[in-house]
Amino acid sequence: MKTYLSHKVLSISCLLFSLTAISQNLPNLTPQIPQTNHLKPVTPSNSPAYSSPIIPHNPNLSKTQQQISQYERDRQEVVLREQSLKQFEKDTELSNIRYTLPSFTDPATQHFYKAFAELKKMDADSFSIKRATFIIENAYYNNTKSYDEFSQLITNAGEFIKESIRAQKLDQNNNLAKNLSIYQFITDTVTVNGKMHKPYTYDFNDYMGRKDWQNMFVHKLIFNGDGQCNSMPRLYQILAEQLNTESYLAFAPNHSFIKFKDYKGDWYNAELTSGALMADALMLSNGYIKAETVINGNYLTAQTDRQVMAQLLNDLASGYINKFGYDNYVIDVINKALELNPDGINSNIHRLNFLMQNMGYVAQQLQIKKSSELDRYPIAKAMYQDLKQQNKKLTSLGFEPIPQKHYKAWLKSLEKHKAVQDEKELLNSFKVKTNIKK
Amino acid sequence: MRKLILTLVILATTYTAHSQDDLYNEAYNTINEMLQDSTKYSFKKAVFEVEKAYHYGILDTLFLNSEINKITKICKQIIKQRNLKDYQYKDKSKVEKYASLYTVMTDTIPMKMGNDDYIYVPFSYDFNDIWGVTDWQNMFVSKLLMTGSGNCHSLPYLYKILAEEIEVDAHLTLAPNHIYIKHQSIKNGWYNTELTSGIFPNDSWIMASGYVHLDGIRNGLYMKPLTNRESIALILVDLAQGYEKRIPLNDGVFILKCLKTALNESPNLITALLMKLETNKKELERFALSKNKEINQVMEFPKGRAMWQDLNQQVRHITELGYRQMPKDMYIDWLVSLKTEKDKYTNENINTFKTKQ
Repeated sequence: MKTYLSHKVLSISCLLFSLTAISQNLPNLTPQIPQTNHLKPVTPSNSPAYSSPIIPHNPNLSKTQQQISQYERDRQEVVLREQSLKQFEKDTELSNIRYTLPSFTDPATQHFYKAFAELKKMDADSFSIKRATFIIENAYYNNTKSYDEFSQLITNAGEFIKESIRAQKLDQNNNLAKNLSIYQFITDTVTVNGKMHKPYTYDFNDYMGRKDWQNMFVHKLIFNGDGQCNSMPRLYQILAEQLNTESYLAFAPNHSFIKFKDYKGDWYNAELTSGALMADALMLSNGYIKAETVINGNYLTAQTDRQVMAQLLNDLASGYINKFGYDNYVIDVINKALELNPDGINSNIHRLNFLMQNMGYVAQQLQIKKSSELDRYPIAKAMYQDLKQQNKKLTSLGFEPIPQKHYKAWLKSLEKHKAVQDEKELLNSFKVKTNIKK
Repeated sequence: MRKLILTLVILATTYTAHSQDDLYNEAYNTINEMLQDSTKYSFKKAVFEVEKAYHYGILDTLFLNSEINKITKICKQIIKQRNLKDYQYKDKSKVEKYASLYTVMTDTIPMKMGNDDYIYVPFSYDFNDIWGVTDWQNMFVSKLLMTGSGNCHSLPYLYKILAEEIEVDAHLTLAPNHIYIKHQSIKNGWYNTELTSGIFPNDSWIMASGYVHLDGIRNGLYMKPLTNRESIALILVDLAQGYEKRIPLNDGVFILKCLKTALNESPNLITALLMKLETNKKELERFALSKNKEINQVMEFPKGRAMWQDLNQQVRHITELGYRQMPKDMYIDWLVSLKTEKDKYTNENINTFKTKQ
């Protein structure tokens, strides 16, 4: 879900590499680029072809002849002047081209720089997902959140789950018992010693984080009680870390869920958004998944810590793009993610989107509309090749934008669920009211 | 007198068994040579070797080759006359070849030869005996070319043969009980071509069969485009299967030889792994019978014990690789789902060369 925006952008790019199409269809997050000035003031002394306007007097010529020659001289002068201007323009034009996107100067960006520095310091093969998640979300909140408070909430939830394991007389060290209890905590109403915890619900209003990026966050989930397929599995993993449980994050196109093993070593897919344990076949037939994406470990595969860290970096970049837009910060973060997981589909989508933004910026300065016009500009041409290469890499990884029709059908099915959920909520509120009456 | 007849009968049967063995060994050698020496590689030849051995060494290759030549000519004609306007990528000439193959396999084509009009009729799917139970020859490309109808074995094989005739690659790909074609293009990456129903299904169709375990995909049991060498390994399994059908009471030696070579080339080739398991099981059954025991009562004999353990080992290995047996009825349902749920499983990105309206 987090990469929906990019999917859309990408599908446009897949149609054809029309740079105009890219700049037209992208949400305009970048600040307006200053146009190169085409008629730069040229002072006469700068122009070598310009001579002082003294008219030589020739007494042998009649007045009209003199006038004609005067006109002719003027005309030639103007032509020369125009030529020199053009040459000057061309020279300055190329040297004035900026090939990197301008950096944002908003002081709030520093929180993101700090967050990236902190994530880089972490050991990608063994890190605290609670801490990492907090860092990423806190950067978006301009460093206004308290880690202690966040941590305390997680600890409380952990204690509650432990209590529920005890109350159900399950083995407290059993991995499966712990997993199922976390699962129950997130998707079901759990009552232990008079304390009740209601399940987290799926937020149908803005599950893409399009209205507000904060809707993607674990903070929003634990403080508001509703989330989506990004925040719910993330919370699961944080709780699993709290309880020292073995479970894994896994992805499907535009989706994430949890995988864990039972005592026999059989895998289970815990779908948190609908609260069901799903068979592989169902996951496979629902999503738009190519065989290659399973083989290269992108989809339906338990992610390693390293892969999770790469995804967290993608999230950090997404937050930055959402808040500010594209500049070199994005590519620095994505390059780090690609270093950890070179074949990660989401990081590669991010890179493609960045390259497209960058190319669009340069193309706008050069006033280029077709790729064939690039031949005159070697640097821009190399950038274009890189972009094409990146697109090829994504295709070879098995990435496929979900066809619009299917995506809409899927959205519709969500709408149906929403109706059901609304109805349930209505019934619940009704129950509450009747309870009060009694 | 009766004795004489009996000896004659025995002689006759041993004679045919012998000549059958020779035929199969010859076929094995020819196919195996293709693995040793890549210049000798020819998928068509390998396929015909298998079918010839089954046909007691008689196969009308003249007729078959002329049929293949005919279709090849039509392919080339299509490539010449048709321009895929919607496909503008560097590999266009390659994709145009793929498209022509798809057309000759699935489309009716009106043609003019001299002053006469002809209609080329494409191949159809033969729902009778898709497993080759009543007649093993129903699996054969020669049967397909002679009758115009085939199954998920002969149709993709013919496709690959034709692809090699027009000098373009085509990758055979396995699914549970099934074979289809994979191609790679710049626009679409890897995509599937399904000949039994003539559409381009997406990967979820194969996954939705319910008998593809995730590990099966990861370990390349299914959905992995086979290389030419791996296709030859597949042919060796066909050879072994034909041998088994032709000489049911064999000692398993020839079959195991074929499978060993096949697995050497492609260690996770599921059809080979399954047949090896079956063959070893028969071996154990014969051993148990010789001791007057049941198959699970041979642990007291060191040889029996070793064989029993080996079988268990193989079963475990195959399961771990991600194989799950698909019941035969399910297979038909699944195959038909492509027609009944066409919208769900059609790869909509492949719209470049749909000629049917």
